[in-house]
Amino acid sequence: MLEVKGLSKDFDGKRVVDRVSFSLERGEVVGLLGPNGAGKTTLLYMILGIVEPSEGSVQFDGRDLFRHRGELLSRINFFSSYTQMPFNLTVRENLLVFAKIYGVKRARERVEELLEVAGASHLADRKTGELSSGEMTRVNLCKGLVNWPELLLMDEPTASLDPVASLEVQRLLRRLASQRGMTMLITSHNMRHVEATCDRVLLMRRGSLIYDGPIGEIGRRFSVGNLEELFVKSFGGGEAA
Amino acid sequence: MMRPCVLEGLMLRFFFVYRRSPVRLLDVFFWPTMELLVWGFVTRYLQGLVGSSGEKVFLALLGALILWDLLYRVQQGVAVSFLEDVWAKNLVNIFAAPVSLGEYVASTFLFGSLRAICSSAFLVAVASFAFELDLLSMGLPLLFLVLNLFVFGLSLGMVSIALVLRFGHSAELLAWAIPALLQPLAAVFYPLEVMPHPLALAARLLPLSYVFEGMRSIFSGGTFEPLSLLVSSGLNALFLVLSSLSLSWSFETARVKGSIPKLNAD
Repeated sequence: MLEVKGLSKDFDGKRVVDRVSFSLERGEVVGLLGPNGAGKTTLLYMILGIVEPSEGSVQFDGRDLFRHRGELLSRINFFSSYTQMPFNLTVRENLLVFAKIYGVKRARERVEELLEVAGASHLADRKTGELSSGEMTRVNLCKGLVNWPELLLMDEPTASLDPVASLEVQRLLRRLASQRGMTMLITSHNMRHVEATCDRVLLMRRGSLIYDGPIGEIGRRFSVGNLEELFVKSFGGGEAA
Repeated sequence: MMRPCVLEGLMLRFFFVYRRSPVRLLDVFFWPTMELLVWGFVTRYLQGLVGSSGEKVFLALLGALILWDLLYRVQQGVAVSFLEDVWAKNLVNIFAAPVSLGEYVASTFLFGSLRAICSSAFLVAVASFAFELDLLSMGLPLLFLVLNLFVFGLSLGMVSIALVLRFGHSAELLAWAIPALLQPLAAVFYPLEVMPHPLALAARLLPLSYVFEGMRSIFSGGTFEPLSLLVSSGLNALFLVLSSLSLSWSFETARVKGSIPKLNAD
């Protein structure tokens, strides 16, 4: 479904993403892991066309994503804990705006449906600027699902959530992936979240992809017991094998 | 190609913003009216000093004030709508969606124009009631003048966005100041002949000077020369192309430098 080929990015002569290639199959949930500055978010922004790659290409369903951006982005969506929406609009109004932008037919019904799916119906008439970070994450998730995307890109979706809320979000994502066959690419620092949600892991370090495979094989590959141990060992001073 | 659903979504956002913040209507109706009243009373006082010969000057000053406000509202509609997305950290959401730069600017221009039309219509009514100024008596030429102002307002708005994309938050002030920076050169409240020669030459490079000269000519009983209309429209087209290119270039540079997420995060 998504094929990233040799994607690189240089900022002021410094390479921050280095010839990253991977592909995502339909219905796959893939975690994109790495320490701060590894290039994960830049990679997501390049896929979305917000940041121009220095080299490489991205294909979605066999078509160049950069050339057919307007058309293909209506089948993709994105949400991040670090973006917001106009704070003086209510949650319902903000979601309605994005539903229209994504060309959703029967936009009002879609908004109500999503609020219910995300357990956020009680927030519908609240102003977005009055929400807690946990509530805002739910609303951002609704925005990310507003067009029922075939591919959902998420940047740190559980970054500001307590463990209970984080668990709820990961269950919801898992359910959406299995029920709707939605493909997901998730950047996260939350190792438990990634282990519970993802089928496969991409591991980035200093802009390069150093691992692409099932979570179950990481232990054998890096001689660690779990993802958290790998993170500490690989990025907390030790070296990955 | 502009997609109606995208324009509808982007426009809807502005309507919701105004519905949620009625205080913003002050900017559309209240402040321009206050300015009109102050200038109206000052010019009426001056007219009393110089007698009936000042009548045309009085009309021209108030007419210029209303037309200048129209230009300012269009420019602000484009530039400030963009800044509001920056301040709301919504820019990444917008450009991660299937929204082209053209659709985005078109939505801000449509909304800015709507705001300008509301504001100007109100000012025309107030001027007619309070100062017996009938701007609509200018007839068809008024339409040409107004169209030129809309187009130039769009150009200034695009330059404002381009500057913020290129130089970041530090350029936000310019988005507010650009019309004021041009005003002395635009011969808004005075004719070109009172300006020093080099400045008058520079003013002739701006379509605005032809618009306001034309308005004064009509108030003095003359007409808006077709040649002036042609030059003004030609210059406007040139500025429109240049400002579109500068915005397009700034947007592409922002994508290369990764400035859009940075603007969103700061």
